[in-house]
Amino acid sequence: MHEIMAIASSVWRRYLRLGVVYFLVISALIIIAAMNLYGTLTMGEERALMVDMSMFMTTLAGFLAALTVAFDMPREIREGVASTLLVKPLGRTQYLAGKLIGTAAVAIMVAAVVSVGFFVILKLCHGTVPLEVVQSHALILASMIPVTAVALLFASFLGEAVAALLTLLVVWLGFSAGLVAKLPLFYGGVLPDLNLFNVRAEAAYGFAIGWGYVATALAWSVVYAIAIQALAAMIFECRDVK
Amino acid sequence: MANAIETIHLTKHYRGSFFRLKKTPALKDLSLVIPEGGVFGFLGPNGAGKTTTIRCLMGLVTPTAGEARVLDEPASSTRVKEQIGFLPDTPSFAGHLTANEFLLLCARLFKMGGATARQRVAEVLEEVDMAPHGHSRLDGFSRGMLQRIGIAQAILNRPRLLILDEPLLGLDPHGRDQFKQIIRRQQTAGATIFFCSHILSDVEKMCESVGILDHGELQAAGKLSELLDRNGQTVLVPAACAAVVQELLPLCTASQRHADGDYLFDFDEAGARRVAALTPGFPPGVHVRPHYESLEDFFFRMTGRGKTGESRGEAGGQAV
Repeated sequence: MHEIMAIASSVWRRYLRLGVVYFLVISALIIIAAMNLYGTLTMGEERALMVDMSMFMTTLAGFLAALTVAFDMPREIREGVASTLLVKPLGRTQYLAGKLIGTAAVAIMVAAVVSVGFFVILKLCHGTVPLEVVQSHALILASMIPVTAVALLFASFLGEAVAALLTLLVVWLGFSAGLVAKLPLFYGGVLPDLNLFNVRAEAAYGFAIGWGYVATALAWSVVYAIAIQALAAMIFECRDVK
Repeated sequence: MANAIETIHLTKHYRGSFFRLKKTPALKDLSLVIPEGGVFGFLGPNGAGKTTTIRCLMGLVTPTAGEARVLDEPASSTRVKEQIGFLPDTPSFAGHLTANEFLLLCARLFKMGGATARQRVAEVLEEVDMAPHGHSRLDGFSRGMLQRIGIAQAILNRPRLLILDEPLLGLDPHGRDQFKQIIRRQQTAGATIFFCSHILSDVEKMCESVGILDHGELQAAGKLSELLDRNGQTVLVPAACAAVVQELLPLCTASQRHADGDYLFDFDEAGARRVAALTPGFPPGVHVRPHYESLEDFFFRMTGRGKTGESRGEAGGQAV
């Protein structure tokens, strides 16, 4: 565990020192706040629009942060940064677990900062922050875990461009409400069921969500991430590292 | 005494091309035993398989066949890595970290406690002359500075076995001298040093044993004194001794005439035996001395490639 946290804290440090993370958060908050100006255009529905946009921007900011592992890890392997650590008393599975925890923590942190910023804006503009809005944002934070795990899986054996593209494809299919979503074992088993975390309508129009649902979705995201991580570890154990 | 390194029929094929159908052999049946203690130089031309061997030893690459053992344990064992220090050929570190942070990360991986880790990091930074740069980010470092940090992280855990791939690359003369002192200190502390280098003069000075690899195959391995001690002899004949010159000319493997008119003859082992029979009849002034070939000559002979721009008798005189 000591080694895993050492790797995770290194990942954490890396993202905190990236200016683009702060740019992403600030941009997201500006866009969310700007939704309050659309009162006339939306016939008084600017609050619903703001909630909808906040969920989209929180998801986007978090996913972009999670996606960076798909770029970073293959580059680190190619440039020999990973091997410098893997020759230390550090198992490959531990290395991956550290990456997963570090990146997921950063993605959750980025999404959480956007969420909290949104709550402040909502409170200032409309006086209250309803519970279902908080719950919907908690679900978005939970969705960072499976997305990070998928990005890490592809990053463990593919180049950065292919890994990032495949992660985006999986995220897109994960939000699919079409044919893919009707395949019960495949969708939610192999592909992540990201619709579990998508409660925009409930949040925007004030329908109750319930903490039980949030907890179930969180439990699924952790179980799914562990399964994907195990697969990534099996692949990564077999590959040659530069 | 335990073996520091042991490879048993180690073979590695890389799969190239898009469909990974083409196999490129990098190591062929490499069997090598290096006992603990001393400095072992691992030599070979570019693409000989040195780095692949090291990667197999460090568990970064899975051998296609055979086995690599380090300190009498399988190379992939995590436990054995606690006792190894490794410097890669092109040190590449997490550039977002400062030198201090990176070394502390390595110390944490070696399970050092907070205060011990900080103290040890300060010690190694001092040792590689990088203490003033401890709080600078690694992505701003020059090649030589990264090499020093690479050496620092390699000796951080006071390793029992130090594996260094091209450790002198990128170092200025002062840095090279410092590096040699570090190696000596590590050796004195009981570490076994295994290092690859293209700078043969340094290897010759620092190593007791060498191994030469070419095209993935081990060409020679052993103590330098034993490997270089079998190369005939050299006979220096003054210009005045024309009869001796005529006698030796058909027997030598190489000859050259110096600017002062003296002749220098080289003999292989067979030639040396015949010269030994003639030696009692040589007039005074003819000097016969054993020929210790340089590591460089040995290297070229083992790898079957001549030195570019140099032919027999060219250096320092005119071929006879």
